[in-house]
Amino acid sequence: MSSRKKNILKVIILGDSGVGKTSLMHRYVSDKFSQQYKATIGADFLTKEVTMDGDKVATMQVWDTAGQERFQSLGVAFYRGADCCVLVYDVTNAKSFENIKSWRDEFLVHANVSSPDTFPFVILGNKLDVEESKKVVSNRAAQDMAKSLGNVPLFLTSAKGSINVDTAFEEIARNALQQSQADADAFEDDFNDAINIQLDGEPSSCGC
Amino acid sequence: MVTDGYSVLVNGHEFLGESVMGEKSVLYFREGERLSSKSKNISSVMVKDDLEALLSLGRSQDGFVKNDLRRPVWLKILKSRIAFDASRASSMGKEWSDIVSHKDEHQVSLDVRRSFGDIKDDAAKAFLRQALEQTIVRVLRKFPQLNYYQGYHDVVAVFVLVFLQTQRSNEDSELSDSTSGSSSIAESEYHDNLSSSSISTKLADDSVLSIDGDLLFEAVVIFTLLYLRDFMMNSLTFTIDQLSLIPLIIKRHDTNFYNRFQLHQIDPFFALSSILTLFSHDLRHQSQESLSIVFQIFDLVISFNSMMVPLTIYSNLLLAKKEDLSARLQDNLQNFDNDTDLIHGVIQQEMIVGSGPQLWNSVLEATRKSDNSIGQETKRVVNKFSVLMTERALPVTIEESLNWLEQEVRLSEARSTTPQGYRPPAVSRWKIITQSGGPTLVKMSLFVGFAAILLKLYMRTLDNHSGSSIFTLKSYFDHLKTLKFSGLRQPRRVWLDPIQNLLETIGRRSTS
Repeated sequence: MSSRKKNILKVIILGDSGVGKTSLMHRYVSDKFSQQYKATIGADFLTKEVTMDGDKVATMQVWDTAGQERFQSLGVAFYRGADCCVLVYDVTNAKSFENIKSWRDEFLVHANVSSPDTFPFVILGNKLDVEESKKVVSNRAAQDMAKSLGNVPLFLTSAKGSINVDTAFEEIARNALQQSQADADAFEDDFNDAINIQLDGEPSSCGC
Repeated sequence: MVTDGYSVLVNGHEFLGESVMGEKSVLYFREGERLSSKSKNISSVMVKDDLEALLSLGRSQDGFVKNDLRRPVWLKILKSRIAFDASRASSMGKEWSDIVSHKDEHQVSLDVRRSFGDIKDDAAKAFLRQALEQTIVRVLRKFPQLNYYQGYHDVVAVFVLVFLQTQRSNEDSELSDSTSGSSSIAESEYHDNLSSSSISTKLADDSVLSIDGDLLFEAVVIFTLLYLRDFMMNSLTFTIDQLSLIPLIIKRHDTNFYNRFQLHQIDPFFALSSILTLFSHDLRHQSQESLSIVFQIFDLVISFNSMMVPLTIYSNLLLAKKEDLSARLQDNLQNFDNDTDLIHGVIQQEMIVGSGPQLWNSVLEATRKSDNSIGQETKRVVNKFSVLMTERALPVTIEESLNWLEQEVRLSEARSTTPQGYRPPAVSRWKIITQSGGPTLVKMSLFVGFAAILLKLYMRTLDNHSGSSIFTLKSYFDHLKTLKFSGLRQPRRVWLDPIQNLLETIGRRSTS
């Protein structure tokens, strides 16, 4: 019981097509940006070793998903076991911002998380590098929404300009680690309960 | 002088790497000779108008060899299956640009913007993107009942490259000419007649890129209606049906591998992008050789007239890599949250690395020899109007093919109004097991299970606890119902769950 599965922090990135999900993942994992990223089909993932609070080592597994709506039905397969969900919008695209809430709901419906109320989300407003005149989502509106969704942490980022990406993912990792530990504890309790029930039951009641 | 556009753009060669000199040169010339002789063959068969001979050339090594040949050959074969004429189509109605826009055009422009990222020349890139967007939009406006999917743009991009022609003002085009040899004279008759629908652009080095928009449109329309219909429904349901054939093919060839990768219970979503794009999404950007593999895969689909080809290729690829895959699986047991992630992750990682041209050539060779016709199992898994079912009924008129599309759209809509949204393919797999796999075994185990329940109920009744056991059963079925209507996939495995969960728990905890 003392040795356990490697500490995997599973993170899912969701958001409308073209908001920069793939770029954010690559910027975080390999600190690169390219104009050549293709549209994602289905789901891709990358991993990165992270160290938190000086000593906790974990493997962050970032799952990047397709933005087109028709691929959402695959979510069921990919969301399972997620420790944190990152919702991305594009600061120059109002629609992508309005859709943040439905991406969150979509995730909660399909991920089958143990406690939807406390499951950690992080919101990223990407493409901060573009000129001011093109930005249509105000910081105020973003903060209001993050608050209304239950004080979800919000970061304005630029995968291209490498702004705030590391800071955001540090927060994501912290949240994921917390969630993963909470899950493990709940799991431990369930596990013990299950054993207790078995011990309490009559030996004859076991039909196997 | 007309040369192959893509080769000029990247200043390479369509088939061979850069190591023209040195120890590989013997191989180079032998390959060059082989390709040149096949090119001549294809040209002469084209002149003779011998469709059967053409198809068998497409099914053999190197496919249709190069894009100057593919253009006329693909069109000829595709048009023999659905007679579709772009000029007639547009004169009958309004110009496509006047027709109301398609609901998916925004998505198209997002994806086009991310296409041809590997083309260095900005003018060439812009030109290719323009041709890509125009073609997709024109198809969608012409057939608004089609739903665009991310990946369709990758397929159409392959057609754009095949239909791209480069005319160079200077004569030093020795690279692209080295394989065509004397056959270039025979070929020239196919590409000199630029029609009014051509678009073109001049690059900084004075070469001119051009594409005949109508011919490209015709080829894409026919290819779409014949082979991509299943993917263009209102949901992914029929796509997933097709994917579920991969485990069935694997099972036929290697039960051990099938079991090790749990293909009986893990949905083969790992193959999604490869199948949706006929491998163009995953292969295109890797190298010149891999681009050539993509063209050859399209050659195979067109000359076998079957979308079983990509499914067979994917299965053959998995089987060819089974040792590496198994090793990778073993190495990664601790690295994923759950088995679905593990299988998906391992296969995806293995596909990204280590699929060199040599492996691909052997996979393609195996596919040429494979039985690419559909089997009994296919008929049970896919819908009646799936592209896999209708491919035997060709040739048809454009109206008949649109009728298939309409019927399939109707089936797809009927399926998606069921409470689940998408139906897991397991239902049909279950049918296969009961009908062909091991009927006796299945019935036996069902019988044993049922007998056990009855026995237990009977014992309880003896203990005067009949009331409570009925209550338990009822609450159990209620539980089943709730799971079903919340759209979860558990119901089919609920019988196993309590034990499975416990086993998983123990397994996960004790492994290091």
